[in-house]
This record gives sequence, structure tokens and C-alpha cells, in this order.
Amino acid sequence: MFKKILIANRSEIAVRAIRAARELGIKTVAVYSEADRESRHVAMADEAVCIGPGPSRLSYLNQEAVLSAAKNTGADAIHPGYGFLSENADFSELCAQRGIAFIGPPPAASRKLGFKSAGKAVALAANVPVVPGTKGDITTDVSKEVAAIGYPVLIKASAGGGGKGMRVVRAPAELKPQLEAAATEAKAAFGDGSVFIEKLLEHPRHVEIQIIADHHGNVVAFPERDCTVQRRHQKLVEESPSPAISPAIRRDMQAAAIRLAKAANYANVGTVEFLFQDGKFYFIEVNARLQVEHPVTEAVAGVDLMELMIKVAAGEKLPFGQERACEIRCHSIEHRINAEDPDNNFMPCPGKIESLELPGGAGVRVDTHVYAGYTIPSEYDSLIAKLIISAGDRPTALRRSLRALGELKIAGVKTTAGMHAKVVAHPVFMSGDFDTHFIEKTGLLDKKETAHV
Amino acid sequence: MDASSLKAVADWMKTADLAEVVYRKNGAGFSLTAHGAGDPAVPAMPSGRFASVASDGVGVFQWNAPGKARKTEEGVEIAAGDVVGVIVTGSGASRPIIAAQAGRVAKIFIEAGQAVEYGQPLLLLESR
Repeated sequence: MFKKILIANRSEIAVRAIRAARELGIKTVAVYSEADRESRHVAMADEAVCIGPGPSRLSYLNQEAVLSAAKNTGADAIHPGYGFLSENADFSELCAQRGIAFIGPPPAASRKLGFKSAGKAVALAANVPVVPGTKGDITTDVSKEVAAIGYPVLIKASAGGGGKGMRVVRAPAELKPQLEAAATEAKAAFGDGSVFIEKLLEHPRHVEIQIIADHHGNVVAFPERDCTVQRRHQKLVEESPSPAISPAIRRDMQAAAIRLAKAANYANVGTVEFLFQDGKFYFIEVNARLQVEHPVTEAVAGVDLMELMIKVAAGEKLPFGQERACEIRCHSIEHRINAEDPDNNFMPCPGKIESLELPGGAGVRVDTHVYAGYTIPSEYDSLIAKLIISAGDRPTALRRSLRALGELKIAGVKTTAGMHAKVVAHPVFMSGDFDTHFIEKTGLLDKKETAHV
Repeated sequence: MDASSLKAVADWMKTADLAEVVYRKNGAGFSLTAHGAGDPAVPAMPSGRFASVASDGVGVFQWNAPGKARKTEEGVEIAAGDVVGVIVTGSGASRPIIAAQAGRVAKIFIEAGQAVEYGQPLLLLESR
């Protein structure tokens, strides 16, 4: 087992990693930017190293600074968290060259699956259903190919995520200009203008399967997470199990995810994302990292994914098989609480947290790095806390969500907590029958005219 | 605007960590500039005379590149642009630490072979 882990991240996920390491008796090193001096992960870790100024590219994305900090402190492993360097195969390769274990998938596996179009090729070879689309990155005239797929189609950035570089094309005449616009946008956002095309599913759900694989050929797949409630392709609410997935479909999805992992010689944690519509699921991509919403699976399956990924990276075998992994022990929902202003187009709302009361009680877990008196820096993501609710069944979980959201009191910054309560209390959400356009279709976040009675 | 309201603004500035406040209305107004407070570039040192030379990276500090003699000693005069030491990063590459201004080395905080982090003060220069 590792002696000392450096956590190359910030915020709640750094806190999460430090907690898991401490439970395993492993020392921790936090790295931080000048803007994060007051962050909780810095105070919690056994050691902390300042690696650069506020902007991420000069600190959290500075590979040499992170690796030098690992060398200076004698860390024998690096946990990348999510975002930043977590899916950078060049970085994980560099870790290996310096004799430091990277707690995540091996570079070859993340290269095979990390790029969306490359992942699709592996999926096709492993007999995993994919959304019909172009064979790879678009380099020539594809108008005939797209006509065969059938409009409407979606243009996506190969290196993308978070909805950037995505374009809907409904008619042949729009194809060329939209392709050019998408390539420009992708180039600006990711430094890579490669794009590809897929058939647009009009009313899908977003359902994903968490997997973990050890270095001894064992792979297990957990119950699905349903991340259908999104705003501009950003997940808002995640739950497990999905109200739309039957036991038979679940088994098929898990089997498909395991086939894909084996085909790519995958190791460590990963998430296989699918779209689900009209009883069929289609592979879209693999997230080769631990995801924000991993605690939902931890609650439902009764496992500790953070601990497991550390153990697997250290060469240990998975302690259980598929039968144990697919157990559903409760219903769980995660609410991402962001410091954003719902009344002002969700503009990030950094600032000082004047006072803070966190919810608690049965079935309520809060993962956060913030505290009363903490100033949220403007440089980074606006996620400030995750509420993970669990209960015996979905209706109870929803009631518990509302109770916990009501207990959460943050003064000084605006948050999305109220919006989560609106989602949970909405009859369509309660019914379980909705698609990824839930927010737009219900008009839930549209500004209301202020009526005074 | 009278002096008492200006004082209220000045007090508020201190709590808000602002460096400068400019207010204009109908062609009249005022501008207040805070000294020291709120400017992270200014270290908490006696004003002006001393300047800290800090590490701009993570690595191991050495006084000189291999084969070169150490020049930086307390009391020595340093010119702007002089190399006062080097940072050796994890890859083995070294990069120079350059004095942004001239001065006499008043205090040295660092030893050769010591691990340093970003922003760590290495020495103090006293300007004349």
C-alpha cells in the first residue's frame, strides 16, 4: 500500500480523497494555488505545498509543479480527483516515468476510451450499442453519410465535454456552416478542432454505469446512475437506481460496460455513459476518472469507491464480484449545490460565506470544502457542496431531499439549493417520467413575473 | 459630500479589502486609494526599503548552477536582473531566480538543497 498520497486537486474532492487516505492510514499532501490558501483541504492534509498563482493553468494544471511537489514531499502516489489533470494520459504517463503511482486508469486505457470518437470504435468492436453516427473525426464531405443516419443530427467536439462545441443540425443546408462553427468553437475551448456527428435522440435519458477494474483482470459494474436532469448539458440532479430502467435492461447495461472495460484493458474507476430512449440504450462516452456523482453509487451499493480506487491502484484485487456490486440497497439522490445566482442566468456568485448551517440526520451526507467565513474564489468551478440523500425507496428519498435542502442555510452568497427543491417537488420529477429536456419543458427555471397580491 | 461620510467610505474600504474606490456623480466625486492593505504584491514589511525575492516555482533551491560559484551572500550588492539562485524541479531541469530590483542582500531565509514551494520568500533585498 502507498505511504503518502499527493492530492492534485482542490475543493470537496480533495477533502474526500484526504478522508479516504486517512482511513487507510496513508499520509496526505495537499497542493494549492495562492487563491486557495484558506481552503479546507490545505488545513486537513498532513502537508501542503503551494504550487502556483490562482489561474489553474499555472497551478493545478502545472504538471511539473505537481510532480516537483510530490518529489519534495516523498509522495509515492498522486490522486488526481476530477477535472484538472484527472483525464490527462500524458500526465499519468509522466507520473509512471517518475516512479509515482497515478490513482486512476492507465494511460493506454484512458487514451483508448477518453476521446469520444476513439471510445466509440472500441464500443463497436465490443458489441456495445452506439448512437448511429460518422465513423470518426470529420475530415471530408459527409453529407451522404449524414443523410443515411437521418436528420436531426448532433455535432460534437471529439475532445469535448460540458456541452461546448455541440450543434444541432435539422436540415442538410445547415450542415456545412454548423460544422465550421462547431470546429471553431471546439478549437477555442479544447485546443482541438476535431468534431464528429451523431444522430440526435430527441427525448433520451442520461443513464451511466459506474465500473471498477483491478489489475488482475476483474471488472465489476454497479447499479446505474440517472443524470437526466441537466441544464445546458450540465448535470444538476443525479439519482440511483433510475426510475426508468428495468432489471433486465440494467443487467444488459452492466454487461455492456464490463465488455467495454475488458476490450480496452481498463483498470481503476470509470463511468460508461449511455443515452436511453424507447427501451434501448446507446453508448456515448467513458469518463476515465472518479466522477462528481460517485457518492450516489456509494450509497446505493454500500461501497467506498475512493478507497477501492486507491487499493486497486496499489495492486490489490477487487474484494467482491459482480453479484455483490450490483446489489441495490437503497435509493439515493445527489444535489450539486453551486454558488450561482438562479435569478441571474446562473452567474457564478463567488464571495464570503457569512454563515453556514449544513443539513444532517438519517440518510443525509454532505461533501463540502466550505465553512463559515470561507471566501469562495472566483477562479474555479462554483460547486460548493454535494448533498447525498439516501432512503429505502424513491418517494421517501424525495421527501428527505426536501427536508435536507430546507435545513441548508448559507448566508453571503447565492446558491442553487432552492432550484433543487423546485426540481424535487415538481410533479413530473416525482412521476419519474422525464427526459434530458426536463428543465426546458417544465419551464422550471424560467423567470416568473413578480406578482403582488 | 462631507468629511464624515468620506470616513464611512474609508472604513468600509478597509473591511472590503479594496485597493481603490472612485465615485463620480454629476461631474463631482472623489477617489480613495488604500495603502498596503488589499494589495497582495506588497509584503507585510517596513514600508518600501525591503523587497522580498520569492520562489516562482516548486523544487529544490540551489545557490548556483553546477560549476558556478555562489555570489549571493548577506551584505552583497545585487543588481536588477542578477541570478540570485536556481530552482531544480522534479524533472532535474533548473531555472534561475532573478532579482527584479537592485539592492543589498539584507537577510537570507534559504539554504542550498532545501525544498521550496511557490511564493516562498528566499531573501530580502534592501534598496538604497
